[in-house]
Amino acid sequence: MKLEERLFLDRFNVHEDNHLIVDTSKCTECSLKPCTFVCPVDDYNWDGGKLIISYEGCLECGACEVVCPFDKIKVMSPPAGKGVSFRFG
Amino acid sequence: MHADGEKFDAIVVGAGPAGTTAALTMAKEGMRVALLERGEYPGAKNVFGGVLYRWPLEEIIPKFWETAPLERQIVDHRFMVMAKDSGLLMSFKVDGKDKAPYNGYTAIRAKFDRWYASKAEEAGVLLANSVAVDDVITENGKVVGVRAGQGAENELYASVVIGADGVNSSVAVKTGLRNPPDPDEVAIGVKEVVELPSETIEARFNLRKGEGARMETIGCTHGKMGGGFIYTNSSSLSVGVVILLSHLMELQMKPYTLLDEFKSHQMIEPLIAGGKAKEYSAHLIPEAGYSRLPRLYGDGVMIVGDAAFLCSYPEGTNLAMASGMIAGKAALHAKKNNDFSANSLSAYQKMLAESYAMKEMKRKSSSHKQLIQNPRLFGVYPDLVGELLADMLHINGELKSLKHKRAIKKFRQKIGLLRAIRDAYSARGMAP
Repeated sequence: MKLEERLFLDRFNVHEDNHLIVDTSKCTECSLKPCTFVCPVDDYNWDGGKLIISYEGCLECGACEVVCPFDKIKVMSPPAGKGVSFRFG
Repeated sequence: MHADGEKFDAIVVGAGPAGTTAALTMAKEGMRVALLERGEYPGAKNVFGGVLYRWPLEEIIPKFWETAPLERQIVDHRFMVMAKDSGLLMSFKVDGKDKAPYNGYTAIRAKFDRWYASKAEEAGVLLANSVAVDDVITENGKVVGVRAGQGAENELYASVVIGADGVNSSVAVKTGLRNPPDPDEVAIGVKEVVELPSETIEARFNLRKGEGARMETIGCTHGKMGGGFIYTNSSSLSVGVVILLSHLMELQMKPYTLLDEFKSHQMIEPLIAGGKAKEYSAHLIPEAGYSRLPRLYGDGVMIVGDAAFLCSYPEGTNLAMASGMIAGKAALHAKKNNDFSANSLSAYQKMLAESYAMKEMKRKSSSHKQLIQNPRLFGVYPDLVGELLADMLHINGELKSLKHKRAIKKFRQKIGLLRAIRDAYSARGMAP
């Protein structure tokens, strides 16, 4: 199943500000770039020498923050009641 | 709220199984408790692939199974050893033990957690949904409240704060009780809920009406620590894969690729065929093990459940509830003595150490470490099992005695007797 189809299944209460706070100053030094593959919804993409971060579809697992070798990712909670709302969970 | 003197006895951050249990335990004995949940309802941020065991919930809500929104009673325990092109499935049922009240149930957490929190409300707990706690308030090193946004109107004060805010707990980190997890302290789980008619589920899993199966699989994580699972709900299956985050980093794979591989395996595909995907979710699971458990209390604060890394396969929700219950009892004791200092709240960790929950975690401790360092169990063994059985079960005119000799040779080459003994010893914590 394609990721887009998967995300279409989930319910999100959309919020405006990106809750993924990333300092990209070390990204070029980072050879592994684990955020680009551990994210279950591909919110991190390396494109043309820089990190493109989207927060749409974020399932709030926090894996990106844990794997960043430079501790430059902070996953904030989306504003109260916003973000993903699992109907099954 | 501090200014006009209004103050709760306890604030519980997070309305999952640990937090709701703590809140309920305290409110039942008359404490004034606020239960704060960042999701729009309890369960909105939670992901479950597992069994909700009767213990210790029935101590908190006797005969909960008569009213709780449960999916299926688990009567069939299935374990699978999977290789790329083969699978060995074991299924275990026992008559007599597996009858009402059942030992464990599957549950849809968005329903269950909401029901459970409503029980806490009935006991007098103030449940506030859509409240995202982002900091704790301290005075002279003692935790005195929480902050959910900017400004005094978003401050709430209490004699004790209980952090039940999950694996990514801000209470645990802000109070300095533990650091954010390292990649070898958590696994990532990705899961789909796949809808199927209940009769189809019963036919495919060899179940009677209302009965359920749990199925856990090793050998589907490219030789890394982790596994796959299917849990049967009433009219859906929870299908997912879990892998230690540091091992996923070594593989450099996307977690949903592992899920796709698992779903398309010949042992899994027929079980979910024709099902309609209803939800995709992901969550971190504490895998720190006993040796890296943090201190669970401080001045005016305790941490419970996933926030305290209290999780150990195949048990999570019950350890969460057990820790919530014991923390609640420690808070009641503290209230009685009007002493919420670290010294007073240390009773929580002492009581927990004597509990089943902590003793189980301790038992698995060294085994857990060995499995992380040396995950042969998750790759080398499943592959060998598949290879040997395929050879043995394939009748082609070659004498079995020759096949047996070949099997022994392969076993010696790939593993060796001494190593097998060592591996069996390190796998003891996996034993159900």
